[in-house]
Amino acid sequence: MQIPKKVFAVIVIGILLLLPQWIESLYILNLLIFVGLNIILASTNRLILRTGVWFMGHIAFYAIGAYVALLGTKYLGLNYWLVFPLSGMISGLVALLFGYATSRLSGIPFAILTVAFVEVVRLTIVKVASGRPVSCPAPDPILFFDFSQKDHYYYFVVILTIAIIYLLYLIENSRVARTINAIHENEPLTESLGINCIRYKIAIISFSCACAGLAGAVFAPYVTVVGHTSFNLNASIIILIYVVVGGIGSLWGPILGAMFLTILPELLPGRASMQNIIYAATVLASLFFLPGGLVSLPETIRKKRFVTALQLLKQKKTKTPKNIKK
Amino acid sequence: MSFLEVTSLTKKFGGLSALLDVSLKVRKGEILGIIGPNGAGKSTLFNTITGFHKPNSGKVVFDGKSITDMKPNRVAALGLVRTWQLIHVISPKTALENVLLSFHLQHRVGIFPSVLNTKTAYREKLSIQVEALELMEDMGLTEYKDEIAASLPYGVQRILGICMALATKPKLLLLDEPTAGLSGAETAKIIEYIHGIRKNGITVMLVEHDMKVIMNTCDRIIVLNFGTKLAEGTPQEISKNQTVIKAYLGFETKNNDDSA
Repeated sequence: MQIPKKVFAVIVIGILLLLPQWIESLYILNLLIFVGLNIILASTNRLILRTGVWFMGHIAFYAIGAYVALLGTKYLGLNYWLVFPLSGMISGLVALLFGYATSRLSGIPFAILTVAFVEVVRLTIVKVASGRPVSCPAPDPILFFDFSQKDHYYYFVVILTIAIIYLLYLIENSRVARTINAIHENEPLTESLGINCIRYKIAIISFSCACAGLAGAVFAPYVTVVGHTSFNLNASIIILIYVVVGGIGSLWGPILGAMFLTILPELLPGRASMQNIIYAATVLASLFFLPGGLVSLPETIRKKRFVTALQLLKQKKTKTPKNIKK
Repeated sequence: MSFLEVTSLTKKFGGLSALLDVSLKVRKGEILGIIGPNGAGKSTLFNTITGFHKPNSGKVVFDGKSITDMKPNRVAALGLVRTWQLIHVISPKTALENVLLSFHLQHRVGIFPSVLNTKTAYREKLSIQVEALELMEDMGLTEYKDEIAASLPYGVQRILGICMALATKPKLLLLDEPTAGLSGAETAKIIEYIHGIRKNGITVMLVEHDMKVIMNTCDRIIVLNFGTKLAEGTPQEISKNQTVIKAYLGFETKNNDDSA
């Protein structure tokens, strides 16, 4: 099992890196870059949601990352490769403070606070930039990237996305995932086993928001003109929609969700005006027909097809003795 | 010297005093029973000692350290661990995963090496898995290890809850009604486990309604009523204590034999 998995990963990464050789269209490359950024946002937001907190403010940390990159390179004249890790660190630090300040809250009050935080960050941007979009300089060249062409951004986004997905994959397979799950299920019980639930939650929020900040730091120079409209509440909720539609139960859920929902509106006519309607329809459809998200699609189909009376009988036969046995 | 010392502990919910000036001592190695009618403040006492409630006044000293305002996880790390009355396990996980979770305090390798799965972290993971399986075997849970906790019979869930508390390597174990809702045979099994726990050098404090369990296990009993300590003594003394009988039955008996 171990080797095919690795081979599969290498093949996927290889295809992703070779893609610009075959695709000439800048439009598709642009789309893929946004797919990558959305995957980072959705899968790190899922990690926070898995601890059981209703975190709706992911876009605020994306914004912080973007503006740290912008202000650092444009006004302080720093090298982009110094600013890039810095933007992740500052996003993570703000998230850390936010987590400490709100550590006593949970459920809907916490959700409202994260929504409010999105607005605070957005209004700060409006105030600082007096409502106008600001242009962001291109990153300084590094290694074989000089960012004169779009495909350089593409490679950079692919590498960043894979790195973050790999980290999330490691977390998913470590004892941290088990602890996060337990915190989500029953916080007092977990706490009574000697686990510091609040510290875990804050660490997860901080790590995830740092990743969002890094994504923001790529976003800013890529779109070249950054305005507050990219970071409104609507954008934050769309990240949640990626997670819900893709499936919160698996690491691959938000990845599928972000891919599906970033590409779907592009395939349909009149996309600009239709985007929100498409998202709303997809969410409703997925909640009705696929509560487990897109990742559960193969399993749902399998179940629908093969659950016959015979299998029901078999299930009954295997289940009852266990229940009788004390 | 007492192992756990509670000095005039008071906990108020609004105007209601759930605990009023309660003092008690737990000696090392004993099994102490807490009994009392419903609403007497037994569970509040546990919650306040283990840090889930902040007391309005009073002091809790465990093993020479003040734990009065400590967070529950720190209290647990010191070796004062509780079980729960209603939900004992992380329901959607398997029994083994529940026990592995409870070994959290035994991890010496930090979070970052664990995530990166370094050699030392991997070795530790294996040794903890072995320990968990051994503990489950001692508790007779081996056959349930791969089953989802929520699907286990209620009695087994209770035992799994105790097993999880033991995995944290406690010095003093607080059991909150370990036999509530269990059959006679299962209760007998739990009594056996409680004796076994004490034999392993763990002090036990026990809230219980079932008098049979209390009389069969406890060295000493403390009776709570309306948040205050009503009486304290050996099972024999308590079973003859007139104030206790009045609190439970609402009237005094003239000629009392041994306990019912």
